[in-house]
Amino acid sequence: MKTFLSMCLLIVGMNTLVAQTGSMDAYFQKYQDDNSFTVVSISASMFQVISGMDIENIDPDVKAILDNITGLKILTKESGGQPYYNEALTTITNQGLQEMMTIKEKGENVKIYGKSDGKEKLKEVVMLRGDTNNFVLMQILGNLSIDQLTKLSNTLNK
Amino acid sequence: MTRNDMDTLVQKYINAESTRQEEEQLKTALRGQDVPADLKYLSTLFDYYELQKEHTVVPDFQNPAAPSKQPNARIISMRWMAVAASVAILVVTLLFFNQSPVTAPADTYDDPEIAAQNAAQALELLSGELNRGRTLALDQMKEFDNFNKYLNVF
Repeated sequence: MKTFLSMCLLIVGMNTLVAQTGSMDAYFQKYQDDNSFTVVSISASMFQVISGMDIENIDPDVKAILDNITGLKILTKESGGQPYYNEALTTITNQGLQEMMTIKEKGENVKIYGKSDGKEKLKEVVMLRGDTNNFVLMQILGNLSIDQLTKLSNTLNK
Repeated sequence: MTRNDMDTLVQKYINAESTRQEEEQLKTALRGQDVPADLKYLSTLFDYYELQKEHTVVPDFQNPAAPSKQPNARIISMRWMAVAASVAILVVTLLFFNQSPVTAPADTYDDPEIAAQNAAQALELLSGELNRGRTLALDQMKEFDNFNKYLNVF
């Protein structure tokens, strides 16, 4: 019985190891077939190809971040996004993500959440942006550092 | 039983010639009330035999001919094995089917270059928002600073 139980645990453990899933996967799952949404999904294998490539017109800082990403998903809706924003918000707060930044400006809400890998880096970043019409949900998986991201925002916005 | 009969029976018994029936006869006769004094020793002997019958069990006797009992061996029946196996299969299939719908949607882009461009754009969006948050925070700090200066003047 002991060996049997440990076998079960092993199987469950392997399952979680193999499938690197993001916190918002279920949410993406729910709306990816809805035509009123625009979905962008880039898989880990695609990022592997990208990291091996030399792409000319991409900033090296951006490339450095791209090389550490293992998954990207974006879900956008152009109209009537408010209820989806609220729904995503409740989903996020149930997922053990930590709030990193909240912006509320001119009727537009932006929230950025992160999941720490236990050290200095983030293994997941979720951004949620919404106003009365538009709704954007972005999920990035990988090995991300806040330093890199803020450095990027300096180079791109100056 | 006459004294004569009794004597012959006793004689036979002592010579070990009496049958089982005769022995029983003698026993019952000796257990009676009027046992002749010279035969008293026989009646005590019989009493002794009777007493010893109750103690014939020899303690800790082990019959070497009897099949020796196995020490408690662990026996797992095939039936339980089957149950365990079926449970294991059930768990595995359940996990498998639970997992399959969580697989990511197909890649949006086939061309890694375009994918990279779009990912870069997404990162720019994210960093733009991060930057916006920072500048907003800095603005707030400035306002706070101004307020402090204002307080210091008065």
